[in-house]
Amino acid sequence: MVIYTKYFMNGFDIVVVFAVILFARLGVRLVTKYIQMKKENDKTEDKNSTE
Amino acid sequence: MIKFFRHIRQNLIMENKTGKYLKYAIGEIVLVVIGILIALQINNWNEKRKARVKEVEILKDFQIALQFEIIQIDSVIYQSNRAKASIHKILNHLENDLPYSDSLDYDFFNTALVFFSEGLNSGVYETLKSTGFDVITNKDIRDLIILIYDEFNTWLLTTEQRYIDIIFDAKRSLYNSRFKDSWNGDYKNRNIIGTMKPLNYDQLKTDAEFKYFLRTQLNDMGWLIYNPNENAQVECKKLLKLIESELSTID
Repeated sequence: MVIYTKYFMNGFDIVVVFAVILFARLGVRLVTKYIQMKKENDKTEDKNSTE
Repeated sequence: MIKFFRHIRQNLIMENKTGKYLKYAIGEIVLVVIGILIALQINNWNEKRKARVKEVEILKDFQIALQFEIIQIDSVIYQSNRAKASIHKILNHLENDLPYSDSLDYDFFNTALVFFSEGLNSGVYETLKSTGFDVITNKDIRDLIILIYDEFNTWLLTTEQRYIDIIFDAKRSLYNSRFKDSWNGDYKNRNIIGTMKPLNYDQLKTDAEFKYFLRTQLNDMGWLIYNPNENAQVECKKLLKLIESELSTID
């Protein structure tokens, strides 16, 4: 039992890991969204220039 | 990194899309925060549940320990009653000039009995101490446990030791000149039966020192055995009742 509590995560550790994963996911989504918006913007600019 | 974000900001300002992106970013951040808060809440709930399980476990251990303490104190009181009755019988014989009989030897033996109750069983209390007193949510139970297992236990052990010292002093300085031997009996017999044969019974009738010792022994038994043990028993019963009602509310 002592070894178990010593080497395995407790409840709060799991919450911290969960938070880290959520923040990492947030970063990825924000950057992806930015790139997507930029691409759309470029497309509309191209359209405007050809017209 | 900072350069990268500045670049993004400048681009967005230029493209007049900051508002839209910010709304999206805030939405994402709010979702993340809500997710973390939910996780924290679940963790708190789980910790509380675990603490409650631990509390019930400790309370049940105390329940068993207290039932044992009450029986043990009863046994000490029973032994004391036996010694008390024998002292009264001997004093009655000595003061009323009654003749000697062999049965008095058993009574002399009983007066020299000591009671090794070894105090209260503090095993569960030590476990509670190492876990932390906060695990018990009911303040009345917590306070009573500390009172019984800390203060009463020390009191019981101290008074018991004082009584033992009195008897052992008597064995060295009083019984040695008045009895053939002390504690003569079968030590393997669990009923603790033995004899102490007086060297001269008639001399004991006029022995003021011996009679004073017996009368004082009765008082000492009151202060050092009955008083602490009966008080401890009352508190143990009170605590047992509180624990039982607490366990019934939890279940």
